[in-house]
Amino acid sequence: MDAPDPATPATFRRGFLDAMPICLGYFGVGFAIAAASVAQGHPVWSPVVQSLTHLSGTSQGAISHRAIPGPAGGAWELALLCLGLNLRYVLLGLALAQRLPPGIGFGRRLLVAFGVTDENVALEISRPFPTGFPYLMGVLASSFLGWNAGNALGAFGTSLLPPSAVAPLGIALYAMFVAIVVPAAKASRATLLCVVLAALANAALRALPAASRPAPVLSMLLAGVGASALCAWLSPRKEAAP
Amino acid sequence: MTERDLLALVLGVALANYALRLLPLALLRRPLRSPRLVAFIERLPYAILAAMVVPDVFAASTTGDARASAAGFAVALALSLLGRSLPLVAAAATATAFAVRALA
Repeated sequence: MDAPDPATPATFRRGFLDAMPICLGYFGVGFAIAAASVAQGHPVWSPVVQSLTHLSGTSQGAISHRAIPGPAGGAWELALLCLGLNLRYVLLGLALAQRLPPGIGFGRRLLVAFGVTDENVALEISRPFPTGFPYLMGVLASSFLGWNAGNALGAFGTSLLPPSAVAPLGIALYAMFVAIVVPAAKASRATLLCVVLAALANAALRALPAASRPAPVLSMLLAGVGASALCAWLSPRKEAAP
Repeated sequence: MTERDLLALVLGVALANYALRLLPLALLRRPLRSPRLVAFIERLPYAILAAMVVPDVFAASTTGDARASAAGFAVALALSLLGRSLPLVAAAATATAFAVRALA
């Protein structure tokens, strides 16, 4: 690999190639999420439209987790749950904003914002050279391509199989959630306490008698917000900047 | 939920996600100052995901067979603790659920 000149901003091509591991990873995850959501009864368009309109595994996982057609209502609770899952984009965007070179105007920021994901921002802010607009677009193109190709193949492929044959795919969503939570809980005791509390609180809420029990999605949200608030109060983050 | 509701939800969430991503790039340009607020926002997705997994992962409806779900969950937990990547964890848990259902 040739070392880029630190004085010249990196190109679109460079961003696209640097993001290849993200592209491949997103292909695999997108395939699994789309396959699992179609196995849960979602129409094929559901994962396809979601992957085209935003890059977000967590909120897509939360929506897929909901069987379609299911009981009426619950859309507002689910929308709030997605908001809670994705509030961290504000932190990612702030981290990226610190590193943007001057001269990227509002119009270009509209495009840059579309590509704010954990993996893309981690790559972009770790580069030893200036990552201008073309580089950011290269990273976005690469990750968008992988995510959408995976989603499209997973959704169409699964729709060709009989529902009973694909039912075990439902576990893939939960396995992905586990694979996101465990490394964070391993890295920090406060996070470990927080996720264990949230899981226990949700299990307790769901065990309440039917008359006083909140809707399933609402109890997940209550458990998650309650546990995070308690742990934030007990163990604030040492440095304020993301 | 009907397909119509689902479409409204999908587009609403897409819009909200975009707003969350644009906000810091367009308006706020300085880091958040409150360590408690940052701690809350950072841990919130993990807490919600944990609540989405427990106790639903043990329900029969997850895979069509509660034993297959529990086995898949155990494999996902073990491989994640060993530091394996997300696609590998998802594939191994799914293969386990298929195997348990085929054998049981």
